[in-house]
Amino acid sequence: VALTRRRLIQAAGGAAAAHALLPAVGRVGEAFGKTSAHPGAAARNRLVVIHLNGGNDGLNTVIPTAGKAYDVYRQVRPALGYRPSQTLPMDLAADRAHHLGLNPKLTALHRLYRDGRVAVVQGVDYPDHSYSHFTSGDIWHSGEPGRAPSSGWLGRHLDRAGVRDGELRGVGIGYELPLMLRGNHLGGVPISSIAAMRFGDGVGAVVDARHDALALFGHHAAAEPLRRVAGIGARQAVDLVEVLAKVPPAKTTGSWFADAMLTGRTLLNLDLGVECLVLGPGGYDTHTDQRASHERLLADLDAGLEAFFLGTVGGKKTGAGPMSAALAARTVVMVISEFGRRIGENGAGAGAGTDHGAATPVLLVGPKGRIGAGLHGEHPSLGTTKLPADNLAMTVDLRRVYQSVLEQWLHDPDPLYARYQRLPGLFR
Amino acid sequence: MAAKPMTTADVSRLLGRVAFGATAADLDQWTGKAYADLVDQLLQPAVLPAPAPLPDDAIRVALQQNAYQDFTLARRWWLERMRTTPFPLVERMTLLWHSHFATGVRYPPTIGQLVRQNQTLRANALGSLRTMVEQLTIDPAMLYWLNGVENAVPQPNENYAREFFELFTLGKHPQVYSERDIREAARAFTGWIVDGNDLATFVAGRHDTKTKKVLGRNVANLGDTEYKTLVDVALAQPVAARFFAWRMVANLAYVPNTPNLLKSKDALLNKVAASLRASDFNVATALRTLLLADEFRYAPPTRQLVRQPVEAVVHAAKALGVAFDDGSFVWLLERMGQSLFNPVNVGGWPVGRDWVTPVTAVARYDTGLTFSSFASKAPNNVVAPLPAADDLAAWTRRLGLAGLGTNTKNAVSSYLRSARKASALDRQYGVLTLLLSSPEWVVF
Repeated sequence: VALTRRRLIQAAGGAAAAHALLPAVGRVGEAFGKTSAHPGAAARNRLVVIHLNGGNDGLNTVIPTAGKAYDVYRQVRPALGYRPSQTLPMDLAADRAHHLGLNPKLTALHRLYRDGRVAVVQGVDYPDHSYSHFTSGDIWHSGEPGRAPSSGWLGRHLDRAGVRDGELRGVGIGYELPLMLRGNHLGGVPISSIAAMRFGDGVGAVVDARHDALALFGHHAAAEPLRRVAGIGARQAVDLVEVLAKVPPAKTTGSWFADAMLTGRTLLNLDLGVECLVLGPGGYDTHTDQRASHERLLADLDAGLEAFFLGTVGGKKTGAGPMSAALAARTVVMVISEFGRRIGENGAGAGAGTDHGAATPVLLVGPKGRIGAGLHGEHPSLGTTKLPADNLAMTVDLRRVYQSVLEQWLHDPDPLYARYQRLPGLFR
Repeated sequence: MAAKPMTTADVSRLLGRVAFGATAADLDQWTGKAYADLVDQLLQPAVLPAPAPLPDDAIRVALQQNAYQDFTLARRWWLERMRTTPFPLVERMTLLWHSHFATGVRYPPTIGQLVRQNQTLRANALGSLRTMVEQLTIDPAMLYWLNGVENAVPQPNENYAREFFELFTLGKHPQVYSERDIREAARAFTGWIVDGNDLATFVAGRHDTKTKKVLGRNVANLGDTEYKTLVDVALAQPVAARFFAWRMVANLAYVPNTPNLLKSKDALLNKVAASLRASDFNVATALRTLLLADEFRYAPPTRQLVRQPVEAVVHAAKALGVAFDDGSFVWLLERMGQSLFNPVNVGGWPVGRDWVTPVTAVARYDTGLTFSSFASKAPNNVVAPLPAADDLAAWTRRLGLAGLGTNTKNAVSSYLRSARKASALDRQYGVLTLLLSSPEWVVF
């Protein structure tokens, strides 16, 4: 009987042995995070980044509720503005004087906020702001304004951490690997969903032989670099399918984003060595009909955060249960977007929307006591009622936020950001 | 060098990159013939008065007229057209422009509007990019997709104006236009809506009649023809031809490494750009330059092309004679990340490595399984019996490939050794599935 790769691994009694026996084929154990291959992996802090694709309207996410800012807001947002009483008050003791409220759809986030688990960094942007989705998105992903992006701020972290070929340390949920996770060396791996990471032909001796042959494509000659990448992609697919086969299929919550967040949580729970997860829910480019669409989007964002942290959607159980205390103590979720939107509306009535804007708040949700709960940085000026601003100008450089996260949460500051002071008190 | 007779590898590679791949019959017909003759044959629709209607044009017209027609039917229709057309380069370029001018179904735009836009892309696929950009600027699907219908005085919506420069005509490498140019251009584009008959209509009262200044030129009020002036202004920029040339080279040859298009040293890109400029943006002329260039024909193994999932699926369907009779392949393409009439975003589909991730590899393998089961279960569909499992030379020819590398041969042989007790059909099934996932199949 010909031994398939899988059977050899079993016969050898574990991943490390398989690697020793089959250096030419099986890098499974080393590659996909058997705990033994990753001393210390379980104790790592985890970071989940949610990029709201399209440009989230920060001004209707964290909303002025009194004072001069509110006067301008009310004037320039006749169709899209919220009355103070509609918002969810940001009423932690230190925040009250800022007169801000969360969008009414962010009820779970508000609960987490009152629980001391949410930090909001206001007015985040970079110099010479670009209004292009692509350029600005690239800058938020690369963390390197002013130059052609080649790697992401988390991809460089993976490089510094010495990630190995195929190691599942940085994962992008989606078809493509986000720039944020691209390293100059190897970077992360994309996974669309756990359900999609299964081959259609099941298991069995003949099937295993086929999958083993597919993995062999990973040894394509280096003289043809793209064919080699294609071959390595096939080998990684075989390895990933094998690892993820152990994960029971999840029930859908009815929200794509909440499902994706639960997929992410499952990957974090599996102890595969996953440290950085990136998700990119889309649709935030609300040029028209913004009231209805933005509320739907924020409700979905809220459902995802609720599912991830609390295991419920709209207060109803999802079958996933609340996050384990151990994982909760080690996980921070960070919400960003490539830009906020213009202060003024671009139309009237229900059809009103907003065009591409500039600075926008960054949200961080994490363990109570570690997260510096409440507001950070300054809210950008909205101008005056006589002369409203067109855009919200930067008050915090995004590199300061990234450096805070890298240094204080992932314990790996980026030397590129040596000049950027981390935000005091963002972590405790 | 173009006069040198073609090897099988030449035929396989040229058709594999620009015409949804070769069949065994193509290899037989063209090996030993002149390269330039095959290029002529591919470009033929550009010189014919007008290509005769194809049998499926009736389906297209029905789709165009029915706003809420089944999405899957539209996708199957186009895939089947790619598979059966006598003018594969026209469909290949239509696909390229669909990604360049990416527009997706959102109700609105409806599938009917998208299929109508698809016909505009096809009609200009080998023709004038100037005409293409003009027609798409007031295309109903586009007017919905980038909020042209909301773009009116006194509060213009600048979504289309921004993408007009960034994605459709000039790009951002380098960015030669300013935020002010975008705002002024948005004003010039004001006034267009989609009427009850689903046609683009100019409403004078919605148009900004003041003079605009775009890219240094004053644009006086011209009402319903003003948008054409904007196309002139954009295409007069030196970077425009290079931007379109980049798109063509990246989609048909290799992804050029040029952070700044105006300083590009990529010989192929520069030749194609010069050809576009000299021909006032004629695609066929630029394509001829591209296909005949030594940099294309004799590109080194470090400059290969990752095929988009649609290309590889249509190639397999052609080589095996499998028709797109149901939604199976539409669904598999969605899993590989390429849904026709629904590009990932306004920037279209990626080029290069993003198509060869582990995610696409799983879906690609399942696509191979599905082709295997179609090819073995539906003998009526199959153009010829499948080769014996271990006859790799026959498989290579059947799939329109010039050959397989040592590693791929070894991988397939290893499978055949492990599966020697499996049925003949199972072994054929396995070899076909593996070959449709092989590096030689995915990257040309």
